[in-house]
Amino acid sequence: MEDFLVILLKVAAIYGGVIGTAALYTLAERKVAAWIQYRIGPNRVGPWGLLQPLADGVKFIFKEELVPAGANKLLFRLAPMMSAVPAMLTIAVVPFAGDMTLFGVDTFGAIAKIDMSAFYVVAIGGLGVYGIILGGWSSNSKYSLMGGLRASAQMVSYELSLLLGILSIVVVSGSADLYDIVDAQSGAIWRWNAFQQPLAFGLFVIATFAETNRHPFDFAECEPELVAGFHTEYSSMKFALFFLGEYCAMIVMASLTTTFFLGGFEVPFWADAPWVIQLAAFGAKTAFFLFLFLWVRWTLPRFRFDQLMSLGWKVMLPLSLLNVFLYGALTSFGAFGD
Amino acid sequence: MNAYIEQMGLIAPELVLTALSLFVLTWDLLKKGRNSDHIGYATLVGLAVTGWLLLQQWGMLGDKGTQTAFGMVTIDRFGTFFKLFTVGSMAVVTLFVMLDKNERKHGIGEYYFLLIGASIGAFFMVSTNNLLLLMLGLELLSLASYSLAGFHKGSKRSAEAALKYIVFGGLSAGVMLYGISLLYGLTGTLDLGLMGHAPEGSGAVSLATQFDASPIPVAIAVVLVLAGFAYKVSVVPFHFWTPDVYEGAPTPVTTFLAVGSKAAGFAALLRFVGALFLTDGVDASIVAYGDRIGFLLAILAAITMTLGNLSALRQGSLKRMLAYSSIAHAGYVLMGAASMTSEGFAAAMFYLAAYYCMNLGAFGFLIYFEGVTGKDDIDSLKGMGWRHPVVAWSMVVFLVALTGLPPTVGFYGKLILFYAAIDAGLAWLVIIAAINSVISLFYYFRVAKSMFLTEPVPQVPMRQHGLAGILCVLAVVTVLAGLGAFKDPLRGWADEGPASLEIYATDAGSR
Amino acid sequence: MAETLFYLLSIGAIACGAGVIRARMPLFSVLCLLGAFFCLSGIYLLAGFQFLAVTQLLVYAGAIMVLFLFVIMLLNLGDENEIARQSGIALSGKQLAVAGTSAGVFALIGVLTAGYGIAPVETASTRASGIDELQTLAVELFSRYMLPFEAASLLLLLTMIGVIAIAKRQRAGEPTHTGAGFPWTKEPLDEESTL
Repeated sequence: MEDFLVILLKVAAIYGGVIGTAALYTLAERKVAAWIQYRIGPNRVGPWGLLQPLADGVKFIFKEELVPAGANKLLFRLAPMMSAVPAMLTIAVVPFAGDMTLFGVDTFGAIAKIDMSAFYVVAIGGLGVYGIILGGWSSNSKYSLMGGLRASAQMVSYELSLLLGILSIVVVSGSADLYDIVDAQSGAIWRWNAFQQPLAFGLFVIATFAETNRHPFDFAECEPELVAGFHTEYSSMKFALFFLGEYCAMIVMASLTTTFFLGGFEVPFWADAPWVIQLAAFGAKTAFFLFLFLWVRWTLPRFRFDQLMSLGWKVMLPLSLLNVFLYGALTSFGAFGD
Repeated sequence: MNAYIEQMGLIAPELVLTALSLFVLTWDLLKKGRNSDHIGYATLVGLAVTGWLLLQQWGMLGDKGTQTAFGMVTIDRFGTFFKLFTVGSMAVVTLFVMLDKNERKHGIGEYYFLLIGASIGAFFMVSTNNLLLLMLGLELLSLASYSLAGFHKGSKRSAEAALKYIVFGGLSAGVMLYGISLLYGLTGTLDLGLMGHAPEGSGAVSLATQFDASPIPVAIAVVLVLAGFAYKVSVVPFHFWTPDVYEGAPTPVTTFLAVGSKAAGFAALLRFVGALFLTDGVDASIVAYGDRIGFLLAILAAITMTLGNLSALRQGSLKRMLAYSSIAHAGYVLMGAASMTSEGFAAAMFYLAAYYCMNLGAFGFLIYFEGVTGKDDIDSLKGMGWRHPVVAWSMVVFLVALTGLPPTVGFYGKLILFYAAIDAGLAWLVIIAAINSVISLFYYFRVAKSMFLTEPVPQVPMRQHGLAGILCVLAVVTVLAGLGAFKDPLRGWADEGPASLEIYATDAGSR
Repeated sequence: MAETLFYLLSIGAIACGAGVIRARMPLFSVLCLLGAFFCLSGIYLLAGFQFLAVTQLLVYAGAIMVLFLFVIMLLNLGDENEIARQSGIALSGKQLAVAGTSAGVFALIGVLTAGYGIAPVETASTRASGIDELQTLAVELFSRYMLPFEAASLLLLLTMIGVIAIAKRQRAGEPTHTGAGFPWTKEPLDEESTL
C-alpha cells in the first residue's frame, strides 16, 4: 500500500513539477526576450509578473473556440492532445534523481525504470510530430498544411541524428537504460559524455532544436511566411495544449541532453549526494539547456528551409554516422572498457 | 579465422557479383551518365569471372560433396546448376540491354546495377536451405524487378507494369511470409533440413512430428509458402500480373523476368518441396502428405498450362503471347515438381535449362523486331522472313523448341518430363500436357506464318548485326542441346541436382 | 492479465488492419496502420521483446508513417476515386481480389488435403529468454545471422537506387518513352506522364 502511495506521489510530483516548469518557462521566455532586447517584460501580475502564466491560462479558457469550416473535426480535436501526450509520456523514464527513501520505501527518482529507456524516449517523443502534422492538415488551411509538411520533413530528418547520437552513447555505456548511462558518467567531471563525445554532443544539441521546432529551425510556425504555421486555426484551450506540448517537449529534450551528456543527476565531486541535492543538480543542468533554447531564439536568425534540409542530410547525418563508427571502433578496441 | 576465409571462398561468386554491382554503381556516378556501354562491358567481365568461379565450384563439389557456408548458404550442385544458368542468361540479357535500339545509351548505369542485384537475389534463392535468407533473396530479386519494370519513366504502360507488379508482389510476399512464420512457430527453426528431420538436441521439432499432432496448421503453412512461390513463377490462380508486367516492362527486363526470375523461383520451390518431403532422412509420416502436395501441384500444373495456352491463342501482341506462353511453360515445369521423384526434379531442371535457351532466343527476337518496327504485334511481322532471314529462321528454331518438336532441346525436355510424370503415375497429366502442346502449335506457328507466308509490308530496313549474331548462336545451341552428343552431358548435370539435394531415388512401382 | 491483453491487442491490430483497407481517405488508412503498429508493438512487449517493441515504434510509427503522411499531404490526396482519376492507372481491384482469394482457397485445399483434426499445437520453444538483451541480439546479428544482415543491407541499397532511378527527373535531351515505349512513335507528352 505504501509502495503504491509513493509511486502516486512521485507521479504527482514529477508531472506537477514539469507542468509547473512549463508554465514558468512561458514567462521565462518573455522575460529573457525582454532582457535580451533591453525591455522589462511582463511585471504586472504578481511579484515580478510571476502569476502571468496563470492569467494566460484563465484567458485561454475564456476565449472562443473555433473550428474552421471544412476542417476534419475529429482530427482537429485530437491533434492538440496528440502533440502534448507523447512529451508527457517520455517524462516517465527520465531519471531526475538516484536512489532515495521516501516514507520508509526504497525507490528511485523516476516514474519508471525500463531497460530500453534510451530508445523509448526517442520512440515516444518522435510521435509528437503527429499532433503537428494532423493539426496542420485537419485545419483545412494552406498555411497550416505547409507548417505540418515542414514539421514532418524536419523532424524525420533530425530524428536520425538524434538517434545516432544516442546510439553512440549506448554503445559506449553498454546499456540502453538511462540509469546505467548516468552511472557510466559518474566519478569525475571529464567522464561526462559531453567531454567524452563532443561531436555527438554538438550534433545532439542541434538536433534537439530541430526536434522541438525551435529557433533557428522553427519552420512549422514561421510567422513571416505562414502566419502561425500549423496552429494558425487553433484558439483557446486547444491552442494552449499545443503550447503546453511544445514547452513540455523542450523540457524533456533539455533533461535528456542533461542525462545523456552532462551526467544527469550526478553531482560533480560528490559521489553519494542525497537525492535532494541530486535533484537540484539535475535542475540546474537542465535549466542551462532551457536557457540555451531562449538565448538562441532571441539572438540567431532563422535558416532557410532548404538550408535546414541540406544541413540535416548532408552534414549532420554523415557526421553522426562517423561518430557512431568512431566510438564503436574505440569501444571494441577497449578504449572505454572498465 | 581460416574457416572464415574458407567460407568466404564458398560464397565467392556472390561476393564477386556484389562487388561488381557496387563498382558499376560508383563508376556510373563518376562518369556522370555518359555512354553507359562501358558499364555493360564491365558487367559482362564480372559475369564471366562469376561464371568461371562457379565452374570451379562445380568441380570442387564433385570431390567434396555439399558444403555449407555461414550455416545458411548450401553450396551444392543443384544450386550451382541454376547459378550457372542465371549467370549465362544475365550475360545475354546484358547484351540485349546494350543492343536494344529502344533503350537510351546514356545514364542507365542503374539498369545494370539493378540487373546484377536481381541476380544476387536469385543466387541466394537457389542456394539456401534457410527460409530467412531465401526470403531476402526473393525480395532482392523482386524489388529489383519492380524497379526495372518501371524503368521507362515516360511510358504509362511501364509505370502501370511496375505498379501492378509491386502490388501483386507485395501480396505474395505477405502470404509467403505468413507461411514461413507459421513454419517457424511450429518447428522452431528456419532451416529446411531441420524441418524435414530434427535430430535430438537440435532444439527444433520436425514438421512430421507437428503434422502427426495437428495436421491443419502444418498444411496451411506449407500451402501458403507454396502460394508465394506460385506467384513468383506465375502459376495460374496467381498469374494475373504476368501479362501486363511482361508487356509494360522494357523487353530485356521482360526477358530476365521470364527466364532468370522464373527459374530461380522454380529452383527455390523444388528445394523447398524436396527438403520437406523427399530427402533421405525425412520422417516417414510426412512423406504421404508430400504425395498429396504433389497431387495439388499436378492439378495446378494442368490448369496452368491449359489456361496459359488458351489465352496465348487470342493474343495479337507478340510480347503478350510470349507472356502467356511462359505461363504455360510454368505448367510444364510444375509437372516435374508434381511427380515428386528425383527423376521428376531432374526433368524439371533439364526443362528449365532448355527453357533458358529457347526463351532467351524468343525474347531476343522480340527485341530485334521492336528495334526494326517499333511495334510488337504479330501482324507487323509480315515479311520479316524475307527481309531478315537469319533472324527469322532463328526464331523458327525457337518456336519449334517452344512447341516441343524434335530435333530441338525443347522436345527432349518435354519427353523426359512426360516420362517422369508417367513413372509417378500422373498419366492423365501427361495427356493434358500433350493436348496442350498441340494447342501451342497453333499460336507459335501463327508467328512463323506471318513471317514467311504473307505479303511483306514496307519497312525501314534496319539491320542489327549484334543481336542477329546472338540469336544465331542461341538457335544453334537450342538445336545442338537437343542432339545426342550434347544433350547427354546436360542431362547428366541435371541429374546431379536431385542427387545433391539427397532426394531419395524412388521405386516408381510402389506409388 | 497477459492473455487478455494479448487478445485485446490482437483484435485491435486486426481491426486497424481492416480499417486500413476500408478507409476511403488515404490519411485515415495511414492512421489505422499506425494503430496496428501500436498494437503489434504491444504484443512484442507482452512476449518480452522490449527492443523490438521500441524499434517498431521508432522506425515505423516515428519515421515511415510520418513520410507516408508527408506524401499524402503533399499530393493532397482526397478519397480513392480521385486518386484513380489522377494517376490514370486503373489497378484492377478485381484481379487483386481474385489473387488474394485464391491464396485463401488454396490454403483451404491444403487443409482438405491434410485431413481433419485440430489438436493443440505444441510449439517449439524459441530462444525467447535472453535474446532481448541488446548485447545478445547484437552478437547473434553479427555472428549467426551475419549473412542475412548483409543481404538486407544490399536489399535496402538496391531498393533505394531503384526508387531513385524511377523517380529522378529525366535530363533534357534524353529520349522519353511514351506510348508503346518507342522514341519515334512521338505522342504529345501530357502533363501527367512527365510527373
